[in-house]
Amino acid sequence: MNKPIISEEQLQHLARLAKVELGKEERQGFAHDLSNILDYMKILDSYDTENVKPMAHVQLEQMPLREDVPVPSLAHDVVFAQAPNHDGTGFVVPGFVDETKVKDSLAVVPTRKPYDQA
Amino acid sequence: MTKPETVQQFAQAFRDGKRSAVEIATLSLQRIHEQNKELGSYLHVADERVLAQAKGLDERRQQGTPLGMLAGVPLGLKDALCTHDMPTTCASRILEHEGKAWQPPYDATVVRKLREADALLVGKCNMDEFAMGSSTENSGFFPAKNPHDTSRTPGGSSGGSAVSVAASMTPTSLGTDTGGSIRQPAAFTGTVGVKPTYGRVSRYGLVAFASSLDQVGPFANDVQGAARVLQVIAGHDPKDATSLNVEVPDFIGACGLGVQGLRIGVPEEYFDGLDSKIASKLQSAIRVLEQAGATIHKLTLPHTKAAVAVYYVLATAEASSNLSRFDGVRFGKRVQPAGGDLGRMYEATRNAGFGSEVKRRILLGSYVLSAGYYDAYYLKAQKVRRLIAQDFQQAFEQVDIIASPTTTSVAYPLGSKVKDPLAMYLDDIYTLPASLAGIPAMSVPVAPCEACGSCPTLPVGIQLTAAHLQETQLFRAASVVEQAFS
Repeated sequence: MNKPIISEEQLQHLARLAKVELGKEERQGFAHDLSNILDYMKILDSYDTENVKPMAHVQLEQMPLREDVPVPSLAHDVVFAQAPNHDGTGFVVPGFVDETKVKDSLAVVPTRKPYDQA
Repeated sequence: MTKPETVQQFAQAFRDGKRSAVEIATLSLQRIHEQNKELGSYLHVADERVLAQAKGLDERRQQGTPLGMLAGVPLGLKDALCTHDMPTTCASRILEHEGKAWQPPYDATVVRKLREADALLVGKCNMDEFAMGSSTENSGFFPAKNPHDTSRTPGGSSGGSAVSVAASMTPTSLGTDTGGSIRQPAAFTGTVGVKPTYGRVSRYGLVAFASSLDQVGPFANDVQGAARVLQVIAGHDPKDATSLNVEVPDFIGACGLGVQGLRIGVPEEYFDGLDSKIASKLQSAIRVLEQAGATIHKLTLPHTKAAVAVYYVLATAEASSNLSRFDGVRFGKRVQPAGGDLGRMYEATRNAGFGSEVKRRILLGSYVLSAGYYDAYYLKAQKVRRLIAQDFQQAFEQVDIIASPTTTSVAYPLGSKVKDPLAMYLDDIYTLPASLAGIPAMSVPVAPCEACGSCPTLPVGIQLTAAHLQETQLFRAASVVEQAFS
């Protein structure tokens, strides 16, 4: 293999997309490892797949859809029992929108009630 | 060394009143506690719960209440299977928060079925984190070691489940097999390991790694024990859309049918360049099958060599999607950097929770699915997957069983491959094709490889592969091999 297929910069970009943070050692090691693995995967090019249908699954044709009948799900208290942070109606997470910029649109979001009380 | 007690022997001794369930559970727990520090087989030992379960079973037996098929049989569960009364971590730090392991609110279907069959569930077995690895060295907690030589790996990813059986902690255990994670550790530890047909056993409550490949199956210290456990866990489950609604045949009965007239194929690709010592052990096993009435046929599976590349494209792609649920929001670990937004929380949580191999595979999977590379890698791999499946379809028009090595070598020293992921991936070459085709396969011990130099006597496994849903053929052949070599 001459040139690594994935550079450290590309790796960083990929890590951001996959929401994976990498340590310094991992950054250097992974660029090498992934390039090596992807280089090996070029073996796939040597197979003629003209007119071959992709196979995502071994038995798609044997999987009938079930009847659309509602069944009970887990109760709220069970679902929240091991959540790192919750308020009894939803999971609490850090902000992900800049509220100063979307103040108007936020105003139309109704306060959420527990589903079983809604 | 006395022969370890089998699944049937435990069940019979309990049923006949020769041993109580409490005695059996105590014995199993004792064996685990004596050896676990050295062998690293269990992540969680459920002393109290199994003793309480055993006490209840003893009472039921005295009252004459009907008992399940596995009553009095101790069994270990791979930690990828959800258990409502035991922690479930997949050997990952991401499923523990503030020192406490996640405990699922429900049981996996296979766990529910085992409880209904009265199996004594002794605890949760060690594994490679999220089943990603072939040596159990990628466990987020500690590696498992091979009881035949503790400087060597028991294989993986279901290494803990294999060790539990090989070290007589339990006569049987459950593992999961995505690309060989039951068969390879079975071969390395001298146990029987079965990967059923995809869809034969429910995946509900199995923490997903690669959904189009994952399958639950048994380890056991004899073929009939594996058949008995598969008999219990197999069957349709409305909670798993990929579970097949087909009749479950008599696996236990198949063990006594012999191989008269069975056509056994030997694929040249699997023996090309194989270690001559392993090859000779396999040849003697194939001769045993021939002497017992099977016919032997040479055949070719021309796309075998592509399996490693196909598998590691598809499995990592599926994993990159499946593992997005570990984000610190609903369960498990959360790391929230001060002042950081949601994105930073995801990254910091996943950095603290995932080991290197899991991150490596998520990145590889994200790469092969990303715009610009999707066709070249993911779509191409799906097409070659079909060619591999067609190889088997054609082969099974001529034969009933394919006999091959399970592994390229005997169990190797710990630490010798973990630094070179590609080398470790390449070792999976013999187990990956059956996974990609979704067909059943099992590993059965043959004559071991004699001690040589610094290498002690180590187990060798023969892999038997059958057509879609033809597990009974596997049990027929495996029983004959077992009789000759056990």
